[in-house]
Amino acid sequence: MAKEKAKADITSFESEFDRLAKIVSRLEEGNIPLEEMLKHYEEGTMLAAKLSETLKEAELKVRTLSKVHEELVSFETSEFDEE
Amino acid sequence: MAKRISETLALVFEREEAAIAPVKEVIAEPLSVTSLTKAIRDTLESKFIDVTVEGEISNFTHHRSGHRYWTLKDEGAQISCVFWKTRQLSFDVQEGQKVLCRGRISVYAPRGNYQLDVFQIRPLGIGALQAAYEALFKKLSIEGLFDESRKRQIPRFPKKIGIITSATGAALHDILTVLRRRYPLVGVLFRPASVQGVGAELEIARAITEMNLVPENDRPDVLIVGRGGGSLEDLWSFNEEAVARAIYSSKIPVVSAVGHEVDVTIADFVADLRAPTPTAAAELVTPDQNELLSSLSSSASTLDYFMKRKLSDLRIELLSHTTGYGLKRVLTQALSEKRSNLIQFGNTMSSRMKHFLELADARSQRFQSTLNALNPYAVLERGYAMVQDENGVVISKAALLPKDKSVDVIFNDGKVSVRRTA
Repeated sequence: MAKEKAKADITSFESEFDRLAKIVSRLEEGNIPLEEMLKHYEEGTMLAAKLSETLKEAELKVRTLSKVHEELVSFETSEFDEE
Repeated sequence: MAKRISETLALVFEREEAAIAPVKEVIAEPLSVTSLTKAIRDTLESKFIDVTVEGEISNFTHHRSGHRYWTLKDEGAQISCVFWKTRQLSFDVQEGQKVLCRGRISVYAPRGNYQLDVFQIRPLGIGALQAAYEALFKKLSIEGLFDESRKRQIPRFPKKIGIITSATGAALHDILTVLRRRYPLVGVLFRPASVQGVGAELEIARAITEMNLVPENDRPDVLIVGRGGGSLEDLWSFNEEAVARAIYSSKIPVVSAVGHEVDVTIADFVADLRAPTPTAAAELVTPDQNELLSSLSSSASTLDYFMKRKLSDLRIELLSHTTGYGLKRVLTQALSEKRSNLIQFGNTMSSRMKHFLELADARSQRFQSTLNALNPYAVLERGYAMVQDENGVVISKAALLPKDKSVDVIFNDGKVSVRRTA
């Protein structure tokens, strides 16, 4: 469950980070009606808090792709081919 | 490093003899050539499954079947070598050249000989390595493996980093340390691979291929392939064609991280991004979480700032509405409405009033004439007189007329005070 959450976090981190940047620049532009602005503000502060939390709580997860224990190089099965 | 082929093999045969000797005593039956050869074959092939041998090339033949044959020799011995056509020679083999061959011993029973089945060969000596490097560089450059245009973008926020390096070297530790510090959010998929020795290139190449075959939901979105610093020979695997080709065909962007100071490996040229060390590679592929956190907090304060500014703008706007044009307009409109209502009301009122007044006037005139008719003084005009006591109270009966008191007799033109005498 916690693992799934972490996975969801990493998947959406980039898109949420970009979304936040977009919201900030939209607000910087100005000229938005109050209602829209409030919506943006709410979403933006929520994202900033959530993303910070995600970063602070993250722990590096390392998995090993086990070496395939067949021979390093597949040897030909053919017999010598001396002519 | 180099093994004395003759010595090693001699050792094996001695052991073989010792093993066979008691058997001879028990069973008098002689061995068939086939069974002896089979025994030799089993012994040799299981013993020399993976060896690296140093020697000089002699009698190199590129057979028309595509296979290559040569003899590897030193001062004391020689061994036949075979290199199957399916394998890639990564340099031009010269007669008399010193090389390292990695392979296994195989025994060919029909001819009763053994040879080294080589799966990888590498030139030996700086000069030869340099020549091989230059030749491969030229070849791959012409093929376009180094083209800038085909370099893939390294993701800004990698989700999973694939690491291909030795399980025992410092490189892995260095990379993980950086990742933990900078961006612990990322997942790591580690694929151990030998990064040194003849044939290590094949293992690295395979690791890159395998990373690309990992199911998509688990597949890294960037690969770090590398090792710590070392000599030119140590790093040589990264100058091999197999690694170059694997990097080139990887769908996942590859960051090369071969720790070396002066030279750039072929792998570095093919890689989408070159890092001078494994540590640097880890830094190059990850955002710094402290920078991210401060960027997030500055985003939050920017949001706050603009929200507050908007609210204050609105407040000012609101104020200007109440004191300025806006309210005036509203009020003027309201006033003019009221005024017209008032005027209308006034009009109605005045016409009603007029009517009322007219009525009142008519009534008052009627009252007036009635009053005139009832006016006692009007009667006096006709010759009547009125008697009042001293208080002005009318005395209307003779019996009420007091004795010894004067009363007023009022005529039309004035009053006379009289006294009753009888």
